[in-house]
Amino acid sequence: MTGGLTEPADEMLMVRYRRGDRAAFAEIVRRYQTPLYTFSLRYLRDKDRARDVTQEAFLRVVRRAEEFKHESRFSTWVFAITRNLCIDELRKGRHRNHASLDASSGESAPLMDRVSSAEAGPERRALGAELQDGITRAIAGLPDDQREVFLLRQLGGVPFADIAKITDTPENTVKSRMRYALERLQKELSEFEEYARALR
Amino acid sequence: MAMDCERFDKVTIELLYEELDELSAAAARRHLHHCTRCQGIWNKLRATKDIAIVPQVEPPADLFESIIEAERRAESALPLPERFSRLVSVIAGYAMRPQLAMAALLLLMIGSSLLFVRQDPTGRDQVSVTELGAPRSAPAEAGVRAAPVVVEGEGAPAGPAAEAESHPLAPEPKTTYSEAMAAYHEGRYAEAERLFGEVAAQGGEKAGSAALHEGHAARNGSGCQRAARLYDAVAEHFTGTTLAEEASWHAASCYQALGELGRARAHYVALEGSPAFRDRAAAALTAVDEALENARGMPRADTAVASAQAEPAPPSNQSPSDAAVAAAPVAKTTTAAPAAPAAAAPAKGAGRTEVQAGGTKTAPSP
Repeated sequence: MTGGLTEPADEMLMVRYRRGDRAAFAEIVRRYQTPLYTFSLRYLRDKDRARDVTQEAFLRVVRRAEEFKHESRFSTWVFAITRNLCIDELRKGRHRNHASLDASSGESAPLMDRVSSAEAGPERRALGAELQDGITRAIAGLPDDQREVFLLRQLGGVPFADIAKITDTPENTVKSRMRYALERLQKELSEFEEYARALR
Repeated sequence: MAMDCERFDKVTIELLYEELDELSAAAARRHLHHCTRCQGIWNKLRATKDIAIVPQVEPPADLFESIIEAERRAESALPLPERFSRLVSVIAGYAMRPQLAMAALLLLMIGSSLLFVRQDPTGRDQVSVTELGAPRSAPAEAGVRAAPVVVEGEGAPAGPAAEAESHPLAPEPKTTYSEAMAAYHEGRYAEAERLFGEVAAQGGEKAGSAALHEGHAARNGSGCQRAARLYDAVAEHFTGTTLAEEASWHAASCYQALGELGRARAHYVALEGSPAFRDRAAAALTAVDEALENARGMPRADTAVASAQAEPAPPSNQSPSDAAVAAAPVAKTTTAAPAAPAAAAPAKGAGRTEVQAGGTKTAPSP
C-alpha cells in the first residue's frame, strides 16, 4: 500500500496533506479504502457497518492528521484506527438486518463476485469462487482474537510488534495466535492443498 | 548459533513473515535443511500462508466520493486555530521549497562576501618588513610569494622604489615563532614555511632562526629545489654568523642532492673555514669531488677552473622571508668547467670564489 519506487510513500502523502494538499489525501483514500473496507467487513461481517467504519476511519485520519508523528508506519496507524472503530461498533451491540457476507451462500455469492485478489498473480486470480468462498468461510470461523491478528498481518501488513501494541497483547501471544490461526486455516483448506501445490 | 527444533518452533512465524533478523533466519534455514520434522511443519504453514490470501472486497462505488466530501466538510468544520495552523503549514511548506532555499542561500552568500571583502584587495596581503643592515636582495627565484612586499630599509637608505611602494598598513596580529614551530613539528610544512617567513619578516631576535627554519620547512614540504634558495638567502643575509654557516651547510646538502655539485662544492669550500663545519665539510668535499670526477671522466688535475664571483644583489622585490633574510648571492660563472653546473657563491657571497676540480680557493672579499 505504501508507495512504490516512483510513488510517494504514505507518510509523505500525509505530510503533504497536512500542508494543505488535498490531492494527497485523495491518493491515501485510493490506496486504503479497499483493504480497510475488507478488514472492516471481515471483522464486523456487515457491509453497511463496514462502509460506515471505513468512512469514519478516514475522517479520523483527517481530524488526527496532526497527531501522526511518523513514529510508526501510516498503515499501522490507520489499521489501528479502523480496528478500534470496529470494536466500538461491535460494542454498540446493534444488530441491523444487513446482509451478512458469510451468512448464507445465497447472499455471499454476489459479494464474492466482486472479490478480487490484488496481491496475487494471474494464477491466483484464476482460482475459482469455490476456493475464495472456502477461504472466506475459514477466516470467518477463526476465533475473534486469532482472526484479528490474522487480518491485521495478512491484510494490513502490520508487523507483529505493532499488532501487539495495537491490541495491547504480548508479542509472543500475538505470534501464537497467528500460528494457531494458520494451523486452523490449514485444516479448513486442506482440500485445496493440491491446488496450492500446483500453483507453486 | 545452532538451532534445535524447540527454538525453530519459536521463530517459525517470524521466519514465515520475514520478520526474523538475518542471523536467526540463517540459523533457522540451516536447521530446516537437515530436520525432516521441522521441514514438514514449515511446508504446511507456508502453503497455508500462500493460499490463505484474504480476498479483497471492493467497497461500494460511492464510498470514495463520500469520504472526500466528508473530508471537505470536516476541514471546514475545523476550529479556527487549527485551520490557521494548517494555513501556516501550507505557507511554510512553500517557503521551504528547495528553489526558495537555494535563492536565500545565494543571497546570504553574496551579502556576506560584500561584507567581508575589503576595499583595497592588495592591502590585505601586504607585509611591511623592517630590514636590519644593508639592503640586499636576491633574484626572484630565491622564493615565491604571492603577496607584494614593501621593504623599508633601516640603517641604510632604502631605495626610491621601495619608499614609493611602502605605506602604512593596518596592524595585524603578529605570527609567533612558537606557532610556526608548532606547525613545523606537526608536519604542516607549507603552513610552517609561511609562518616562519612571516616571523623572519617581522625581524627581531628570532628572525634568523625563523628564516633558517623556513628553509627546513620548505625542504620537508616542497623539496630541495625551493629550500636551497632559501638557505642561500639565509647564508647571505647572516654572513659571518653560525646561523649562516648552518644555512650554508644545508644549502650545500640540498645542492648535492639536486646534483648541482658546483654549487654544493662552493658551499663546502666556504665551510672549510668554519671550526664547526670544517671536518664535515672536508669529507663532503671529497665526496663531491669524486662525484665530479666521475661525471667528467677525466683526471682531477686536468680539470678546468670555474670561478664565480658574487654580484651585488638587485633591488629587493620579493617575498617576506626573502626580504627578511635579504637575497641569495647571484653567482656569475666566469669560466665554466666542462659538464659542471654553474657554481654559486656560498654564504660568504661577497667574496670571490674559485672553484677547481681539484680544490677551491676562496679569495677574500674586496
